[in-house]
Amino acid sequence: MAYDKKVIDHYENPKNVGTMDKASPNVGTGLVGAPECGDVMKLQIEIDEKTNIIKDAKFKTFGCGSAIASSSLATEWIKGKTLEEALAIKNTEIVEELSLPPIKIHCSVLAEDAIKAAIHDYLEKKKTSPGGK
Amino acid sequence: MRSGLVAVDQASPRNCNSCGTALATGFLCTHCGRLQPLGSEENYFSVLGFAPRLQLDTVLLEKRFYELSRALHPDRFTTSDAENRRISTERMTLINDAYRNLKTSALRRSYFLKLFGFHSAANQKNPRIPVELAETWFELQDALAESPTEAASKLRGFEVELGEFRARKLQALLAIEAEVDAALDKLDPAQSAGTRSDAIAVLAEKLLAEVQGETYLDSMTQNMEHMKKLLL
Repeated sequence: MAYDKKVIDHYENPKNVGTMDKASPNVGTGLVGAPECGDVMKLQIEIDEKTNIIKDAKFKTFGCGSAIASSSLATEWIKGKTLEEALAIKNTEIVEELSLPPIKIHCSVLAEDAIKAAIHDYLEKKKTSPGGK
Repeated sequence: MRSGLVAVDQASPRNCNSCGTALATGFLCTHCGRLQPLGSEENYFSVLGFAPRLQLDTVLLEKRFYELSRALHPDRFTTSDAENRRISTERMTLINDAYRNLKTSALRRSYFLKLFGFHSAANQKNPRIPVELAETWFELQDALAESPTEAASKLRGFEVELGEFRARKLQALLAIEAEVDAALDKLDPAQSAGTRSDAIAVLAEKLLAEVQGETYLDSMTQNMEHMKKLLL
């Protein structure tokens, strides 16, 4: 079975690979895994505190090509979005965009989970240190 | 298939399906020479004369497999009727599958869990990611982008770290397996099946969680081997 061209593109030339400072108050980190296949995804977002807009997003992953493509696409999509908009992204949209085969759907679920985990982490940070600085 | 919990250790005393004589072995009547049809309660462990346990004496397993293979060899049934030949083939097929699945600990573990009805837990949200190893791997990816020489030396360090981690995991896995087996050994056959599954269920969940974490290590190992080919 051949992968969709978009998967290959994101796999061979992934966007937004990298790491942010986990300790920074404006950075939220999500680390999620799919035990069925062993893929792990770390997704980080940098948030503009005033506007609640995601200024930048980075990811790291180990696992298959679809996991890389899904996280690459997810980081592209959430940049410039508000937290609410980013939370509304569904894995099905990723499946559709990348034409993922049924057996790789969990990779898109992983990307959705990673976005939610990163936002959750950021919001928890805000809660514990209201000043955020 | 929770009924696996009441699986008998050895085939319990039964009578020949054909002539009614008490059977000395589980599969062949020494009185009339009829092979016994496979019962619905037979499983991979029972056909090889074992109680369902995670840790088996693999030397004995091999010995039993060869003994049974000889006893059920088609040459022995050339003068037998069609029914007896069919049963010998059926039993031998099951024994072949059983041996293949019980020989290695990983396949045996997964069959054991299935037999006892613990196979749905893969859907649980229990990722158990090896966080520190994952972080080390991510740093390695950064290093690769910056300096391949440095990445190569870090990669060697990572390989050692991953190997040690896997060895510790294996020890933990073996310890839980021994715990499950000991709990099964202690079961009083007179106890109700319900209490039994509760006692084992807790341990089996622990075992499953441990096994699930393995997939991360497998995919990490694959990624590492790939990077090794590129770098070293």
